[in-house]
Amino acid sequence: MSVVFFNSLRISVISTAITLLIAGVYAFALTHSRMPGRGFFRAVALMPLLTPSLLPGIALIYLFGTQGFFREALFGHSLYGPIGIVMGEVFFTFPIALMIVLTSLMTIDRRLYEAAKTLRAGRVRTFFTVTLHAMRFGLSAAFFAVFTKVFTDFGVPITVGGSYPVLATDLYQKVIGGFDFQMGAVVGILLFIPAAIAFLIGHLLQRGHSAGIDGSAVIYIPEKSRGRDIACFVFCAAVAAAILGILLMAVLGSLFKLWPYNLSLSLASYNFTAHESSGWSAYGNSLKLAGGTAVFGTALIFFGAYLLERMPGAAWMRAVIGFLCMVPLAMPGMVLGLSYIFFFNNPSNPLGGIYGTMTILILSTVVHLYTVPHLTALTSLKQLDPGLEAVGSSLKVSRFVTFGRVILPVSLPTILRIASYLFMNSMTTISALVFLYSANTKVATISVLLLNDNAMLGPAAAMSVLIVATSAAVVSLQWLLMQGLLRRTNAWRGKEA
Amino acid sequence: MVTPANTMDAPARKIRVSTSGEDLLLRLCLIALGVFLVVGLLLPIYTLLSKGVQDADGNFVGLQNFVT
Repeated sequence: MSVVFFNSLRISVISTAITLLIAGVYAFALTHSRMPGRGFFRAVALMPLLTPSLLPGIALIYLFGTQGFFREALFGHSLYGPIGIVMGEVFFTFPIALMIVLTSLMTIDRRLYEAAKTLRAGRVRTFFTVTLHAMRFGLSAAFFAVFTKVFTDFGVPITVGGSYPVLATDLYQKVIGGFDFQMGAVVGILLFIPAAIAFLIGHLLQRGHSAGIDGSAVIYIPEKSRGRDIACFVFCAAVAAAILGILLMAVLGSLFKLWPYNLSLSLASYNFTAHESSGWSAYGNSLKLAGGTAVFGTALIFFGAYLLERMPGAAWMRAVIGFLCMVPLAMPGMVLGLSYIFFFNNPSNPLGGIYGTMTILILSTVVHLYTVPHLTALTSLKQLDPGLEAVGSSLKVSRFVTFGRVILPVSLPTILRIASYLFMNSMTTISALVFLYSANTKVATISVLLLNDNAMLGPAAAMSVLIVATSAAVVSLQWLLMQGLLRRTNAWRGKEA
Repeated sequence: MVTPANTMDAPARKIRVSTSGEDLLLRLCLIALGVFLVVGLLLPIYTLLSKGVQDADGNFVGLQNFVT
């Protein structure tokens, strides 16, 4: 057990260090240089957010596996094991680290650089005393966010972990392979405690960082520097090429007729009925899960945040429930899934009827993803005038009417953002579902896992590509709706002018 | 005549805010949210944590399961 625990710890620390280094330089290049294509590089960097964590593993097998196109690049080392896990985790967690570090770099006050220049500080000294100093909270928060993600991730180690066990795969083997639920609970607790500690430290650091952001800061606009801009462009182009290369490899892998023997292109891998018992229904179940989670989750989370933020009285009750809303962020999905087995698959539980149905999948996914949209809703509701309900009640209008006629329409962009976040993450998640699905509720990510287990790499890549395409379509739809909404709600600005 | 000092000496009167039917409904909704989080999060976690310190027969064994 201790070997597995330290394997997880080692992998998490190494992956986090590499991710932070790359994300730190990438974020610096995006904010502190005038290289061309900054918008493109930023968009490419966020693409891994659309993928299930199984996808980088599958693409890496095509690239560096035993029969991979670039297997020599590993100098005789095997992909399957720590090398593959670290490579996959760096790809998977890169956008998370980038977003946090980017925020800390974008809030640096330009006047600090001007002061450093006036005091005749050199470039290196300015970098250490201004840039790196301002990044310290962001880097530490990113460290704990990435560490937690890698420590609890299941998708990458199950595809390229080989015989190198980590806690997440050990938990899966114990429960699904050996039906040893007792030891499963022990491994689950071992997975939960470090993740919870890392989450708490990261959360505190991020709060410190937010408190340090000054609204009066002047935005930094970098001066032209040919050498720096070329270096930044080369670095970002290399990272973007790696990200796009992994995604492209997954797409190509799904189109190969029979890799590595017949590389002619065909759509045979997309004929899921020929490869897996559930066929296309797994993809249909994913859409049902994502749709259900988006509709039910958005309604619950937004109305819940409204109650917590704008309801009068019941302060202690709101404080307790507000704390409970934060807990899911510290809860690894696999641990939540396992705890659902113990709780709902118990004959004495009157709610046991939902076990094995789509309802339990939606319930676990809503709970698993609860915190981030909850915080989004809270932030949006805090920005609304606190006197709206008071005006309503002075006009003898019910709070529910004010909620329906004022709060909801004004918050539509936030509601859209929450729905899209829930949909996208429900499409790509696997961790909690791996313990809860039944033959009738098998979803696309589970199908990818099973296809990969059965060495059907092409169909596994095809299903992963389908998940990415669906997530990308939903994000694009959300963007289009937001643009339409903004045009409609801001039409009066044009008229006034 | 009422002076500020007199006002300070006067016994504090409790102000009771009446709860309307609408407020009551909102509180019920808040309780429902609390129940959702207890059933969907707290009780499953509690069950998992308790399983970790029990043997196969459900007897409490402390941290013995972790010493392997």
